[in-house]
Amino acid sequence: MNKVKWCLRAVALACALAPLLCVMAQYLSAGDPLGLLIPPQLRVLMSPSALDRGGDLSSTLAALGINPSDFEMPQFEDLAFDDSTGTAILRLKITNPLTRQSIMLNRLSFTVKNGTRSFTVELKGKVIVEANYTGVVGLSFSSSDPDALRCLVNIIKGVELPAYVEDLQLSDLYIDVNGILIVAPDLGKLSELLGSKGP
Amino acid sequence: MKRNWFALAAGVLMFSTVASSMSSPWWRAEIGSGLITVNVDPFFTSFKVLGVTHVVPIIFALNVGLIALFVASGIALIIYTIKPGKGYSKHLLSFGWKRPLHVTAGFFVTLALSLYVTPLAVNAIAHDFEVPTPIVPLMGSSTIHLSNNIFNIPAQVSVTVMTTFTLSFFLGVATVALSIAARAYSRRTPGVNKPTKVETLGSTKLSSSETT
Repeated sequence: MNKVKWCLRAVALACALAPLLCVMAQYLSAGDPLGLLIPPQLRVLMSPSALDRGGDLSSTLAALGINPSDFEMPQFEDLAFDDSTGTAILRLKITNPLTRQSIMLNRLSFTVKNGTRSFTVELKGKVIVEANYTGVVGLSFSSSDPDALRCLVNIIKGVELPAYVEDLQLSDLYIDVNGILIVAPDLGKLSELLGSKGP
Repeated sequence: MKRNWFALAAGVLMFSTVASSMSSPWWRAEIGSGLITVNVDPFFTSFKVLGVTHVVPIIFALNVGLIALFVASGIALIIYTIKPGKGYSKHLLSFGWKRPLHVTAGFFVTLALSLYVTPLAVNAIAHDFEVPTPIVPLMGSSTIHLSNNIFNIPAQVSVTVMTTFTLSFFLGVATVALSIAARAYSRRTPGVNKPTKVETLGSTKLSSSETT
């Protein structure tokens, strides 16, 4: 019965060591011991050219699942208020540079303050931009005060410019993009934001 | 000769555990909503960054070795159940029952060490960094703080982390329980794995009443 015992021990050793030795032999014979520890897809990041920052950036980003060739920052297309639903619809031209991962805007909300009066604007539902997608995406916003939201849309579009526009402040921004949370308690005055980054 | 059904169940469950691991890892950590996913599993460990799956070659080799060992142990337990009266059967049980225990305990200790000891070591070596202990919870959700401003606007930037043990892990634990039960059953039940006759090269002789 000792034969069985030793046979089983040999099987255990072969099972444990054979794959390990095969992989080690493959990388060590190629003079690449580091290859044992780094995933093949990420080897391009560790190549001397990439380390010298003189390498091909596109191939480096491609290894990370990013396609930089057609990437553009989100561009403003249109902003409108829908009276029938009481929602504001912002249309942006968006490019998702990720080749295998969608971008998910799970939540976006902020508060607009005018002295003691305030109202909250919130994204309705989730917005999902599929991997490699380029096109116009509509973001639908609702508010507890639809009239105030209509005024805000008109102010942003430049249709209305009431005297109190200088006093409007944005606060309590909450953004959840793919689980990355951005919380900003105070964004400053709306007029300053529109002055520098408005549509 | 009584059959040890615990051993048969453990053997079958070993195959199920390996098969289940291919689709669902024992432990998963998801940073953000699919931004980074770490799949820790004795049979298929990988991580996914922005949807691209990465496998470390040496860990892959260890995983393949463990799959082979687990499957061999499962086969041994099944043969032991089918042929309980053979003289070699006690060696099969001895070979098979320990493997799920070793693999599951090894997995749990490695995972706990990675989460609890690594941050302590990093904090001790690199004083500029402050890595929380554990890096992520063993099970549950938390957030990792990333920055205090974005585009020069004061803002808290953080990322959500969710970790969970999946059904595959609990299958592994069930396999361990059944393996231990198989071992205990063979020890305590008379007539299980205690062959009265041992065939040796054509002749037949009485064996000692040794247990596994």
